[in-house]
Amino acid sequence: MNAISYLSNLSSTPSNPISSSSSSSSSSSHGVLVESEEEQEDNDEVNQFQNENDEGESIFLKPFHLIWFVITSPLILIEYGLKSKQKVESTSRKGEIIRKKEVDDDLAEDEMFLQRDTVKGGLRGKAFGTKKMGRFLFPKKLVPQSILFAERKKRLVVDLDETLIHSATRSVSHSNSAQGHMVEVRFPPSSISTLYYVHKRPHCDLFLSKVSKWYDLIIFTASMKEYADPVIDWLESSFTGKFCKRLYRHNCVVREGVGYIKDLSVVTEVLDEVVLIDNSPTSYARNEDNAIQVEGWISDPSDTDLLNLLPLLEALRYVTDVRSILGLKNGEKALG
Amino acid sequence: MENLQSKLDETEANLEVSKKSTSTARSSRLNVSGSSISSQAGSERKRSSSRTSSGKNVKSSSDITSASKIFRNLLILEDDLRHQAHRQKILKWEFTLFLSSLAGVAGFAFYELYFTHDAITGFHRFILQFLLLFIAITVALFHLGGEYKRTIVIPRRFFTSTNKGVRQFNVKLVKVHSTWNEQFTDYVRFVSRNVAFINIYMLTKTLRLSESNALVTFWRSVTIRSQPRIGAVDVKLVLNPRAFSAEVREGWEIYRDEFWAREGARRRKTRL
Repeated sequence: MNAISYLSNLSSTPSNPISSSSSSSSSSSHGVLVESEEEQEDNDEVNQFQNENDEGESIFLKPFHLIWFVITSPLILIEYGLKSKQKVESTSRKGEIIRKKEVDDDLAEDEMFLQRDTVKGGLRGKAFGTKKMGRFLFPKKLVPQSILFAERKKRLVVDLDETLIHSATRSVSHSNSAQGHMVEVRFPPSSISTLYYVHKRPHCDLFLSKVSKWYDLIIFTASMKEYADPVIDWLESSFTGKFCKRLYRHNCVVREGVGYIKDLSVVTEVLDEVVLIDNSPTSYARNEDNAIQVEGWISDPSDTDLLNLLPLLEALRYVTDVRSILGLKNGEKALG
Repeated sequence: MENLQSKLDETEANLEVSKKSTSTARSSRLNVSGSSISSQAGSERKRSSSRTSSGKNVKSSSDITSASKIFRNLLILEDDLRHQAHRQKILKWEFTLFLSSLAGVAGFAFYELYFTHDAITGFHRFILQFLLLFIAITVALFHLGGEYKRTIVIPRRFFTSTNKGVRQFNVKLVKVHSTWNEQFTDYVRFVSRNVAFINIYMLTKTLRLSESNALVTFWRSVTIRSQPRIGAVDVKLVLNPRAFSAEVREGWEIYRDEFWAREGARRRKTRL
């Protein structure tokens, strides 16, 4: 029973006594049922006197009842609400069980399972979508909960030289007026120390501090450990996060005539969660689908490449496989 | 079918390892995957029937076509970029409002001090001068602290800079301008949604009606029917026509629209 029917029942009850008290016959002037016209005519004569009485009473009583009903209607609603609350409480146990089951179902739903479906109303009928792209599968939820609530972050592997910083020895003149940070490097066999002037790329600190909140940062450089370590220490001191791991030249794969190749299997086995930012295509030759290329930076003070990558990197946090986005650099070949 | 699939996976894995000789390897892989699609289509009916019978069936990741996977990830990317664009827009508006109100107050104080005929003296003058100085210092610090760049300049360049970042992946973020009737619908939905929320609050908290009350359920249904439009209503990601054929681009649009239509239906259903 809903509230409206409940209300109508209640509103009909106060009007009943009037009709029953004022008129003895069922077919009064405001009666509902009319059996036949003849009977009506007969009764009319009998009821004429009673009708007059009736109208006299209803003129006073009806408005009063109406006002009374309007005033008390909120109370009636509240009463109805209380009753239904009690009902809910009495059946709450059953409801709880059902609700629990629903929650379990929600969690059990693995969002990686995609629902099979063809394109509805495809412009080219059956041929559309099936020929080249296969059937379209739709996820139940946009971002799977395993990624949304995962403690584990994706990994971002960043190159050092020409990507985050640029360093030069004293002899090389630098267009930047600022002198940059000095790093003294002593290579073990010769023990001759060399002085490097290191310059940060514009927005480097902002980039690192933002990105370190979204990813586990890993630095992977093709330069020597002796040189890279002090530079990385200096970088770490100027932003809030930290590099989880440092990888150097000896972690790279050397290929004759090509150079140092950064094989991401050193970082992790799960390649769908690793992004590599590098300026040299040689570095990511083995993991082309994981790489974001940036322009190599030497001295341009108005460079905004790191800033431009921030929206993309922020959005990449939640994708299920970074390779399917970063692989799009090959155009249609990525679609298979 | 499963055997075939696993074989394909193996061959793909082998090809991944020897990926250096790129062009030849890629073309052969394309051939392999092309044949897999055709064979998949052949046995489509068989598999789909088995799936419907068992309800929730665990599907291996190799079952998912690469197009669907890419489109799904593009959806996630697009959705997050949409949120970012929205956030940046709000940030820009907030601080534009803040700065313009500061400028308004400063202008008023300046006018009162130096352009009115009757000379302002005493405490009133001191207050106005203090106000002017205070605002000048605030604005200077706002600019020097980099806040102006963070809240006004970067949000204004959001689309340009994002597009520079994603250009290498052959996608582009564009604004979608809605027509006047869509805007009107949005407005009506916004108003009725908020009226419904206020009514529900009044009915349940002030009048203490139960959730199953007819009035409350009515307003609940109003909130469900006047949910904001979802999907690519303001910002969308488009594929570069130079790198993708018309078929793929069209497929992506259809995929997105279909997903959001389903998502809308799901939301309406779950909130009932």
